[in-house]
Amino acid sequence: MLTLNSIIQREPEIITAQADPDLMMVSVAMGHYYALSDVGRQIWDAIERPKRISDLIADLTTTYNVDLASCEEQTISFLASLLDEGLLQVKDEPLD
Amino acid sequence: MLCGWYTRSDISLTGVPPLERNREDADVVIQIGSGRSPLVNAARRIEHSFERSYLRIHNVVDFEISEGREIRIWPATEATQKDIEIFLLGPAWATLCHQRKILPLHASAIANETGITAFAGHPGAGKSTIAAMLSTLNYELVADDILPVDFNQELTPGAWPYLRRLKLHRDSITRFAFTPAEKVSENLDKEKYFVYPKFRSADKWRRLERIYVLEKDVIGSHDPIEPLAGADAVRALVDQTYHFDFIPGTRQFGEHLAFCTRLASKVAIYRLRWTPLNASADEFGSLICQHLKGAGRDPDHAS
Repeated sequence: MLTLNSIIQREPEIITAQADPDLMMVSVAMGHYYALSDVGRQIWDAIERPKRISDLIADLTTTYNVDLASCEEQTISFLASLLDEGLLQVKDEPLD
Repeated sequence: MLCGWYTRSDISLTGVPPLERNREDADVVIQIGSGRSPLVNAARRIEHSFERSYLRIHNVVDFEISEGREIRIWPATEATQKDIEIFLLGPAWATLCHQRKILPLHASAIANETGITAFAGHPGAGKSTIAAMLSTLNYELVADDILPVDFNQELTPGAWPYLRRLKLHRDSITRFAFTPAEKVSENLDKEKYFVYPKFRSADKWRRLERIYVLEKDVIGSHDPIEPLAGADAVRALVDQTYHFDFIPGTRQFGEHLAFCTRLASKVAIYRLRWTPLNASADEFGSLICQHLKGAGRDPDHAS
């Protein structure tokens, strides 16, 4: 289960292609195609390297006019769906 | 010639002139396989790898497709040449295209002086019907059911013609005043006939200008033509890839996604909502022709 203290990173094996303004993705392991746009795409870009969820949310609330509680709820929900699809890794080790 | 490839075949192909017997440098060879089919004891009816693919069509034919240049056939005992041809020129040929890094788009296609327009869609969407309609308006038929798309050296997308004939039901043949040539098959697809429109594209590679993705109009859309962009355009091309089984079978997801993404960035793609049976030929044909004449000046065209 994801928490604000979870450290997450996007799955490096996912293949992506630019389809401006969207990002297309395919999971070779699952054979499924995905598309990200807007904030979802920004989150994907931000988690190329391991990142604590609370830090990610701090960045998003700075960029977008959204209250903290809503941002936390929606971001964790989005990350949970990425995790369910095998697109996300949860890192146990502390960040450098 | 099929798809720009000189093709030598052991079996006759409806509407395809035979290659000279002495031509040894055929690009594609279709042969009757010797001995037993390699699929005799196979557990699965479809197997794909980078070099070789196998397809089994139950009670009709087994195929071995190799390295984008050879198709070997093991016909079932009671299979007819026409039944074999349906699958030879369908999924087997599409597999050949995949092996050659060419995207077999599930589409019919017509051409005018500016290039090719494709009409993609799932079975029953009306691909052949709309191509038939436009061929009566002097557009040249390029393909029916499969359009093999690739990029030239300048990375411009385009295609060679493929099977410049239409498979139509009797009512469409009557509707467009065609003369049916022969039945597609006595056993399979037996409600359809081959039709050869008067205007058919010459054997040359031409630029692909636009793609319409056909959808059934269930709500009576006020504006039946809608541009697609970004992920919607790419998703449409992925969805309309003929014999998509090849992609997961060879795990070439990355190459396929890259191809579709590049194609979507260079070709204008639209969603076209219509109902093949109800659409007035004159009204709808006029609508499409007007939209086609906007090619080259279309503000929705992706660069």
